[in-house]
Amino acid sequence: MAGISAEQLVLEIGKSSELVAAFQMVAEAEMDGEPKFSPQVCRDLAKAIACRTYAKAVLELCHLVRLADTVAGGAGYEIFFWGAGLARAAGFRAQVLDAARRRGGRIPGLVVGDSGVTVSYPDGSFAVTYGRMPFLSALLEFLITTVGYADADALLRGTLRQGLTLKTISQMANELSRLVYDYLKDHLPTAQNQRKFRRLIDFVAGQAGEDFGPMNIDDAAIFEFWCQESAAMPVEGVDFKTFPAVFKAFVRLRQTLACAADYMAIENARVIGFDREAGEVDPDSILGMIETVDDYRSPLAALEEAPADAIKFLNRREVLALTLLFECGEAAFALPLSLLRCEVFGKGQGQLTQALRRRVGADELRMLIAACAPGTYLERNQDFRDIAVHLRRVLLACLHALARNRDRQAINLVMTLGPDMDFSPLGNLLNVGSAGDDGGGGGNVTVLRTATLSDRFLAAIEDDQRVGPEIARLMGEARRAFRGLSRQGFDDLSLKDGQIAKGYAAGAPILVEVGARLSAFLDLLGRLGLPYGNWDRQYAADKIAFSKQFERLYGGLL
Amino acid sequence: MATWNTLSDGRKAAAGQVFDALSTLDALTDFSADSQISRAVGFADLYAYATEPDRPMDERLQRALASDARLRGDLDRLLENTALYRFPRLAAASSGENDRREGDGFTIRLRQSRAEETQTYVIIEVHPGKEAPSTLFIFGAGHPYGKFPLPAAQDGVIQLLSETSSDLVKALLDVHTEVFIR
Repeated sequence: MAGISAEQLVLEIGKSSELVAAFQMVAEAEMDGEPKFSPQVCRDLAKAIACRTYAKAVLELCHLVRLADTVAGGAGYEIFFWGAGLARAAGFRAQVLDAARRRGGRIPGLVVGDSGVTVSYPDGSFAVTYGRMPFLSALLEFLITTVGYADADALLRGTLRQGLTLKTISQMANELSRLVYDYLKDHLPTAQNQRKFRRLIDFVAGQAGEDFGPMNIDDAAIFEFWCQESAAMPVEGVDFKTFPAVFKAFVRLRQTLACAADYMAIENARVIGFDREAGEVDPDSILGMIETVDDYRSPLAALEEAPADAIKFLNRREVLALTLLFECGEAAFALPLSLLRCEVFGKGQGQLTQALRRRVGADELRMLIAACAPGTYLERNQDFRDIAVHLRRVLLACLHALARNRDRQAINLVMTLGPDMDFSPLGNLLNVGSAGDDGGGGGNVTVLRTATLSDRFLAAIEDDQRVGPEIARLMGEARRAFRGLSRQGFDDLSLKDGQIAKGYAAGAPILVEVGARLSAFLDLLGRLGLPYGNWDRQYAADKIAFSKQFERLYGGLL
Repeated sequence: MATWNTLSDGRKAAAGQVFDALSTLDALTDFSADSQISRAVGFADLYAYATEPDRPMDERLQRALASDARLRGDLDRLLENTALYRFPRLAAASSGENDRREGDGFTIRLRQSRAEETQTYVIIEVHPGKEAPSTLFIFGAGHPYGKFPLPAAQDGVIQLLSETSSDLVKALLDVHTEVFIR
């Protein structure tokens, strides 16, 4: 490793640091100490940048800027985006409704609706929904962060002029899109990513032959690639120093190959302006596939969004512990050992690079290389099991909360938490007889009957005389779990809060999904055929291999 | 499941683009774990400084403005966009000092205190029908982005008492100083 400096070992070549820093500024923007944009809005923005699908959004933004200035009575669009708190649909809606109220119910030039606002032009109109405004606000923040307020404003202020038409706004949006395009052209790491793609493809083809597929990307191949490539000199801005980066790259390659069948649709699509012969692809098609892959992480993301975010189901440590598993999706089940290597030795490598950033002394570096990892495979297995136990406890607490709120989700949760329970005592309780018992008839009978069944069950759910000992025991467990949790949202007072009630209803099915995926992964880890037989021996063998590689990578700096 | 050889060149190119987009998405969103960068000054900081009367010019903002010409340009434009009125530099005056600035709807005067000679009144007259400003910004050599919160207007007049040797009075006397009120 002679010739590579500590800085080179720390930096991940290929990242456009300026673009990442700009995006980070948007993601970390705050209002009154809280993140201005929700994690989902930030992720959507990242996808729009990565897939270059910003042109339509820029057009919407131009209309929104005009709308914002009109709402502010001509005092500038900035107040709409930076002067009124967090970028949330409800906040933007409140601004619009407040402005309309102050002006006697209507704002000239705008039609204010329940779900959004329509901007009127001489040649037509353009509607922007409140739900879309947070994303457009984040796009504006990104635009200003990258090209600067002065340049962006020079174009945006043009949209405020009197007498503009849809067509002229569209022309202005094109100019603004050009600014974004020029910036991204210089800052997106496309060339490095393409070279990285080629290297991975060549490696897999070299191992498995030219006719390879996702199944040829396995734990052994990933580890061999990392051992082979991590200590090599970067070539044309591409390097593979860290095991997590290599793992992630192979996961992405696997996902890319797995959705190869969908490329047929791309090939057949006829989109004007794209040269298919030259391999150009419609960005919207790329976005569609990215959305499919990204869907794996959606349960964890949904817990961070309203209304589920009103309740602290999982803390930051627990979310971090599950993030990689959920980001990888199906690939985690195909590459379980690599995922564990990433979680254990990848963290060790992370500590090493942090230490290099801090310019620690040789002794500390030597110690970190020798230690290799902050934990073992067995400990990581235990962490997953602990979270699985916590998830069941949280689900029980959800059951208590939902039952208290007479929410029908409680019934599903009873079935999920006690699938083998004796439900026979419910027979009499729920035997509602004829349609007449339901107080209804005709076409509404089925709906009314379903509602009545649910209501009867919910009314009796905590009464052991009526629901039987097993359900009563489960409900007792649920009550104790609820009272045993001292996190935001888990207290009797909160249960009366409408937002918290919605949070439980939204959160419970997500937690069931999270728990199911975690259980399946734990099950896989328990029966995995490891090269060294068991997790203890695998850890010992891997520790020797990783330590040797860390020595090659960082030992030269001692 | 499709294998590499079964893909046409077009599909292979599409695969490359999907890989590129996924890798870029990771690069953009993976900063949280080992973020080393202290939060940089963003537009929200400029906006808060320009629009909140009591928001001071903190050291971080000062440093960023000193080192980033684009950020200075952004703040200049923002102040211009959000100002109630902008008094331009009095470049035509040759004396180098001026104790009165006339604007559309506003007048700024300086008057030495009779009670205390070392002090000067800064008087802003708000003409009828004009919104009273809450902040005064001065720009000039030696006092970039000076910001002074203003007291409430009394009968259309805002008065500030300041040391004659203060940056505010010196800047307002200087014909090369640009003044914004907001």
